[in-house]
Amino acid sequence: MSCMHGYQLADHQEVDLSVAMTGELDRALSRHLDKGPYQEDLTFAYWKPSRGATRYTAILHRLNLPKDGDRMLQGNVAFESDYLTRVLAERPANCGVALLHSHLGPGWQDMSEDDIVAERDRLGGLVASASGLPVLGLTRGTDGLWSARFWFRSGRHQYERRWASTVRSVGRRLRISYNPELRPPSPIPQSQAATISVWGESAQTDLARTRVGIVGLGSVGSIIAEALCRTGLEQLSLIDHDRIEERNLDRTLGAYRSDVASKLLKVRIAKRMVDLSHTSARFSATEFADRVQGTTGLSSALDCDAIMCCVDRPWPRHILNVLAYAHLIPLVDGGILARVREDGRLLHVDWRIHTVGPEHACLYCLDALRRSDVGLDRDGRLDDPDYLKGLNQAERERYGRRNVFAFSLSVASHQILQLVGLVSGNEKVGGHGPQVFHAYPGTMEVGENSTCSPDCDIEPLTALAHENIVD
Amino acid sequence: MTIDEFEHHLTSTGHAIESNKVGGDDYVIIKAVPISSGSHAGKTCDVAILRSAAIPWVPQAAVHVRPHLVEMGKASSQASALGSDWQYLSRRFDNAPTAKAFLAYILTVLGEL
Repeated sequence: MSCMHGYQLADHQEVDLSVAMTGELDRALSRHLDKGPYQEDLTFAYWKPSRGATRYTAILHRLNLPKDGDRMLQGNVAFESDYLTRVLAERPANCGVALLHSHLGPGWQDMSEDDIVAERDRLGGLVASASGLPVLGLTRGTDGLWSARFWFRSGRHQYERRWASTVRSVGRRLRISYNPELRPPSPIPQSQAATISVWGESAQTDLARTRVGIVGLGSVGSIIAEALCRTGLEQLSLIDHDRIEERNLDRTLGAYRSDVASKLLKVRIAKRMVDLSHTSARFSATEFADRVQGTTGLSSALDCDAIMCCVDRPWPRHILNVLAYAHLIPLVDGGILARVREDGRLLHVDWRIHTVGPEHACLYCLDALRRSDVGLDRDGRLDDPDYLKGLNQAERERYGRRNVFAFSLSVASHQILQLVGLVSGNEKVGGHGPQVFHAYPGTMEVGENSTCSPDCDIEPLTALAHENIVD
Repeated sequence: MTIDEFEHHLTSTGHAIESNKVGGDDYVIIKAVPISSGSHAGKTCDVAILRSAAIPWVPQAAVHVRPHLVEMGKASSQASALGSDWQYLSRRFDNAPTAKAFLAYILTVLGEL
């Protein structure tokens, strides 16, 4: 695999290219670029690279909008040299430069000869030498869909275009524009007829092409894997370092006694299961036997469009919480708390499900994660029996990880519905806020569409795409 | 917040700091922190905080103090990886760690002993 650094074509061979922006930035671009049926417009922006295992993503960071006299508007549009000079002078450290413009038709936009000259010849060498990163070009269609390409140096004074496969806009909704050649829609199989009858072909096509990571293939994760592949998703990344044990058999879908004897990896069990039960004609599930705090686990998570968080340990949940904002990979998270009296009688059971990322509150602001627990987990204290013995009853309850299969089924179901809501924008499927279910008396509380608190240290990381997430 | 921002806040508010590496871990040591209340009011102690370059910085659920301030094993204390003259105080800090808030938290931990 290529190293994905710099702007040389040789360093980005066989890499999946992508672009991401916040929903807020997308709306700002719509306000600036959508000038009606007869006028295109343009702007420059800055971006930062996000490097996964197989995907290189430009995370749009902020705009540098044109001022009066910065561009010529004559139906089509061109930028003046002074505008480019200003954009290069004001470029933040470690940022690339993107040129974004609008076209007057819908869908994934191709390029005119003028577009190619502007990006390849006017910008290619100048931007690459100034920023150390390739030129990025994006075109917005009248329906708000984006196309995108990178210009890599292939030789002396030569820059070659490489199309991105996707452009995702991440806000209340995850909206992905797909390159019709690199990521064409699959024909919808007859096995999806009932599904489509509920949320329609368009939502199903979007959902099927979303690359979803499942972090944690235990009770909830194994159910989600089975459900997503039956729902027609084409690409799953399965991430878990753990091996199956006998105590997991009461709630891990697809696991058998023989797997315990052979100490099979949970990702291997999940892959075996989804390879048999998927309904898509273009299905691929990739297994990563690593923790998300490990190099392989983290880079494979960075390849995903959305992540289903099915781990209960605080440290990996912290990392996924950061990725949701800094790298614009939204997270659908769930958790179960079953409290039991000292005499063994059940006290109560709650479970909660929430979507995390830009325009949603983070795990800390939802009170779904505590920083001190992250510190304890990172230090290995949560695996230290002596430390756990010294905790008070309430703290031990939180780390007790009590669970039964039926609780996991419910959490998995609601996580999937929130994912469908996130991708389709259909609140009638996904609901409209964080959900907390109380098993007794059997009520679902729905929170407000909350955002992070003003002093939150996670939300300010939005679109920074920083790499030092783990020590 | 990053650990560098916290260290900058410490120096800008007149605290003397140094760094110490033990095994693979880096600590920032705040020298002679005055204790303003509690059973050690009027004394000073050194405080060590585990560094991490990860962003955002998530503090360890502990502060390390020198000399020992409580009988070992009492008040959620235990041996510190920094050495026998240090004491590990297990404490939770769950707020967003701004530099000012985290320093106030350290002073509160010392003042509550």
